[in-house]
Amino acid sequence: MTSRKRFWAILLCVCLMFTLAACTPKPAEPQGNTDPSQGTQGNEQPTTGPQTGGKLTVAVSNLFADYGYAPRISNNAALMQAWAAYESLLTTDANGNDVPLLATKWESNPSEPSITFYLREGVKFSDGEPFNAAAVQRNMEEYASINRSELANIESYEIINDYTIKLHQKAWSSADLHTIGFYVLFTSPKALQNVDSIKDRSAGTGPFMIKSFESGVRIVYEKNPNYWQEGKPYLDELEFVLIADASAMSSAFRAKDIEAAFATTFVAGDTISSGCAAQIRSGEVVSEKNSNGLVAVGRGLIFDSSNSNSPFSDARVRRAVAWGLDEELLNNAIFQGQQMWTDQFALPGQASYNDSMKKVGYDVEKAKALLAEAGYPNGFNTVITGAPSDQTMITAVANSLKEIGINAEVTVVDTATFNSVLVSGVFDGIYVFPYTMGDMAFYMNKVFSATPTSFKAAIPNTPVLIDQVKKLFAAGSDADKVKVEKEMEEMLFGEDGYFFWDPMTVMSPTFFKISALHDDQALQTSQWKAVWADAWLEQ
Amino acid sequence: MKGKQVRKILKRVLQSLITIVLLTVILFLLMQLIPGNPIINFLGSNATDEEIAYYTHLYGYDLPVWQQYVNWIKSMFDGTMGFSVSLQRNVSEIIFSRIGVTLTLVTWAFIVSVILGVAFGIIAALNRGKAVDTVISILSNAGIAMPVFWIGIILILIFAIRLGICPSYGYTPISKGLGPWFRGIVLPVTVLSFPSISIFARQTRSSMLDVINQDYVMTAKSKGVKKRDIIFKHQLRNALVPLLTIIVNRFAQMMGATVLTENIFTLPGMGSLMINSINSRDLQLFVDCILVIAVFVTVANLIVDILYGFIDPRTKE
Repeated sequence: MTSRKRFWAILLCVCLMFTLAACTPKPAEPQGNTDPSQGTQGNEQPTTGPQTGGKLTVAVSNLFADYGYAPRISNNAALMQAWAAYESLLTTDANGNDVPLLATKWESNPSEPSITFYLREGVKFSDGEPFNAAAVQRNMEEYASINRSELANIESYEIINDYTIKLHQKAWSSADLHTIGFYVLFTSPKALQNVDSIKDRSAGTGPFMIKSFESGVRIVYEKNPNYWQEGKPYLDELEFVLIADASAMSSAFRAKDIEAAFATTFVAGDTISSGCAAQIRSGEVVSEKNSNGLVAVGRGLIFDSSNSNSPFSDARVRRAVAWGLDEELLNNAIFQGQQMWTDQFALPGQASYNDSMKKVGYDVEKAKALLAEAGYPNGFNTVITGAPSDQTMITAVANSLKEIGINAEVTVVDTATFNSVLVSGVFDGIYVFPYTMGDMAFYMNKVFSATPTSFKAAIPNTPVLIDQVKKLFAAGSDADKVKVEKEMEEMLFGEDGYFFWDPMTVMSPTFFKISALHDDQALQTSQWKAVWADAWLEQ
Repeated sequence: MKGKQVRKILKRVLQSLITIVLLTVILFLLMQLIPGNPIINFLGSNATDEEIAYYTHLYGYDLPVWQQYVNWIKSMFDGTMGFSVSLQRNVSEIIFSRIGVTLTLVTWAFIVSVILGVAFGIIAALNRGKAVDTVISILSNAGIAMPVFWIGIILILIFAIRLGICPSYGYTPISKGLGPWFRGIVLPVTVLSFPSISIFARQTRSSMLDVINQDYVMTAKSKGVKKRDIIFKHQLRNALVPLLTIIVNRFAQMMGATVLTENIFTLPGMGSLMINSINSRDLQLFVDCILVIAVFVTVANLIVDILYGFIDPRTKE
């Protein structure tokens, strides 16, 4: 064979190889539902009970810097991963109620004011140290020492006995039980003596402990031999790998390189759903979302109401925007009905959702009349700004506002800039912003207080709302609290409400997983939580 | 080596050092202008004023810019290269854990590109106007025109998803076995080297054609010198002079191109580190990453300048 012929033969072989590879038939797909967004929700029924063993690899779009030192972990996404090694005093059930974890029960005393936690006995940290009241106090002091807001209202600690601790509050706060009980994670006091010793390892009471940590790459957990729930965890190893790009997550799923993935934005979820459409249709991959709204992230429009030169300093203009947007329709159109919708801080169905107040609906004429009344019969020009993941929503809102005469120029800023504006509240016009839907008092206190910490430049000091937040904190019983919360909903979002912001949608991350993964309860009890101790892989 | 040459090299080294120092100042100042706060990104948007103030002071972000710059330069000499807020450790520790991946990727891509690119260029030049030349030209044009991310996605689709012979993401160190390492690195190396092979092939072909009819080549042929010797000793050596600049410049470009390649394959190298640092506004980390790459590029250029003296005697003067 001459060299030329040999060249052409090799070239032909290479081309054939690529063609054959690209044309390899896909796995057989069952007939039926062809909409990937309608993927299987919830756990598939396993054929057996929990099986032990196996390694679960979960792709995440963010890894925290340091999972060993728990007091520094405040980011919700990081908490979801940290809960593998660390635990809190209480957790939540699927209805959002507080239920025991490291504390078996608790008592609140508004008149003293104090909260008493009764601790679980026989619990050990992964380094063998006992979990007791002294350990709880040491951890809470550590949190306070780095200015964590959860402990700001605690004046002193009283150890009643080895397994009972009373927290004396500066003033009664109905928010403290949940925020302290849920967000404070416990580390071995011995490990806290030398924080550097837990830089790349953990010393918590959780089902796993850190085996290895590659900063910005992956974190691998292995079983905690001292775990207090006998027989758990079922998995040998749990690994979180950083795959920042949703398309890459989708490819990793299809290549069977990962068993689960958290998509934190709608766009990421949509990308994985599309990329894994065949696997979702066949039931090989299932998706889960949160439905109770606990620790959910709401998205709304916030206005530069403090700026006296802005049209939005007039409450009638803000209300006009609310009347001019068909938010439920927009929500369904943009997110294909996959996100929850609300017109208040609470979600419909939650205890504090106010069904009885006069609500603002969709009425273009009413919106135009309000604008005319405020001195803007021909509308005005403004700017609407948001993060890249909200671009579709921002554009849709801007288009809708044109109907009532408001011309909003769409501006998208990168995530880092977006986060800075969230804290400063310095912007022009309208900002699409996220807010955490936890305890209403805890959240509203950041916005409506003498020293606000969120959106401080955007929302004017409003004594009546500040007083209402004080009432929220002072509520002595759950019933009282719900009553004040409903009043606050009306003050903010009722027909004559202040409308400093306009709630639009409630996002839920999506948890994609192979159908062989069971009982992870990802997102079922809160938006950012899975029960890793219970998770198991069907072999 | 003559004293004149040594002086020339020292002058070039000094120029490189000045370039790097100026670069640090410009980079540091430019990063101050970018909106966004590293502390807020680290703590999250739920952070309180007290928490933000605590960490801003802790990491020295409340100091005047000049003082931050001086502290950073000092950290170069104590070996820490500053502290990364987003990753909570010394920058040198992070860079050392990442640079191996990038250097492995770039080195192999560079070697593959040079060998294949030069070989294809020689074949095309020696077969000018023939079918082989046409095929190589078409493939070269395609290699330059096709976006790297698209090639990456196609390769993942074929080799990771369809055939399942390569991982779709991540890097396996060679310490975990030659096979896993090779399977993990082969696709990113292919993607990174694809445009370079095309560029080198085109440039080699063009340079070879420039010298193919030179008098000294004709003389060698008429003297009956072996064809292989004519190609490698007379044609290629002279064709290498213009090619060398392009090859070394391409090495510098490859260092930059790793940003995209590493993100496509989720490789934990310098490229993905830079993206993360800019997204989290981790100023020290970002500036240090750029600085490390700038040092590599400057040193590469310095080597070319020195090599020129040996390859092309005319440049000695």
